[in-house]
Amino acid sequence: MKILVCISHVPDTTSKINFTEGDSKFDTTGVQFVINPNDEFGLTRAMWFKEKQGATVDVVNVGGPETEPTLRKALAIGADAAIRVNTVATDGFAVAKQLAKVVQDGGYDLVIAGRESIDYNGGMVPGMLAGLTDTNFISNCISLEIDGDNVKAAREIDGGTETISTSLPLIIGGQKGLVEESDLRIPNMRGIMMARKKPLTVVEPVDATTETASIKFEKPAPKGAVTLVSPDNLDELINLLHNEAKVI
Amino acid sequence: MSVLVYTESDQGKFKKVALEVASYAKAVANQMGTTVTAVTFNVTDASELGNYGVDKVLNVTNTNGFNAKIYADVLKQAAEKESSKVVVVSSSVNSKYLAPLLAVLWGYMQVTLQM
Repeated sequence: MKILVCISHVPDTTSKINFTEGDSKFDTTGVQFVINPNDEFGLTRAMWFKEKQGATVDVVNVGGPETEPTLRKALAIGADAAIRVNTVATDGFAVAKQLAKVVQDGGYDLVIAGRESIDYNGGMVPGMLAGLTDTNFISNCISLEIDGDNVKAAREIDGGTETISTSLPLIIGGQKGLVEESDLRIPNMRGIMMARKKPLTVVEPVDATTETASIKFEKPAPKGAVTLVSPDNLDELINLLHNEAKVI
Repeated sequence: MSVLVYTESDQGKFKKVALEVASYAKAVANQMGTTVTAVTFNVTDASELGNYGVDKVLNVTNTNGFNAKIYADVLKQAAEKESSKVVVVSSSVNSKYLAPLLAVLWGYMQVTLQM
């Protein structure tokens, strides 16, 4: 089984977020980047397929050279080879078009993408990739078992879980549940050393028009001061909600 | 050139989120100076949507539960029929499932709004 895991290069959640160029671009100065957490669950699940079912695991990222340390980390965790599509990841459609070319050229049986990346939270790439490659697709995938070409999976739905049977080739939008947080792997020294020798292929992008552009980013408004009201003083609470907060 | 909105239902009745996206679609339609057309599946009474600004309802019947590919195809056909330039869907799990498929089928960009 040939598996491709899509890896987004995203800011660590503890990073301080700032914008530049008139608040139209994300300021990467001093920001630590990591593997997108939803992709990390998928990568660990892929490693289990490798260890238990003899799968091969490639990882791919759409981005500039600055994303290579993130790909090397995926290799250190155990992926066999990495591919970097050498273009700036702009919007979801453009990224999906780049990944579609890699998927078609690589003849993968299973493509694991994160349900969404934690930077822009678009959540559209896995579905678009499935649409562009006309491949079976499961979103919000929380469980995945494969026997030959037969797939049994579960996906999160509003208020519950849906169990699905389908077949390879397949693309999933994965998330926590594929494996648990306690199963995630930290690269060890041997893995880091081996990762240096594993292939990281840089491929040039296909022609893909970017359909959207960010005009302006805004941070959420800072939280205001908290006013504590005694539980015995409901009149004051109503007065504040009515006259100050103007919510009733 | 109506704004198209996918209004989700469960067992023939609209989900709360369907009414929210209908209102949002109405606001978008007002900005564009046009009307709102809703696409529903297996709904028994769609008249409630009128209270939320929907001008026209296309109710698809006899579908066998949610299927992202089929629903995306229906929405694409509806968008073409209504000459729509904007389709509004919610951020529910199922809508997030079908929206990218629709974007690819329809050849239009998807924008995700976080509220």
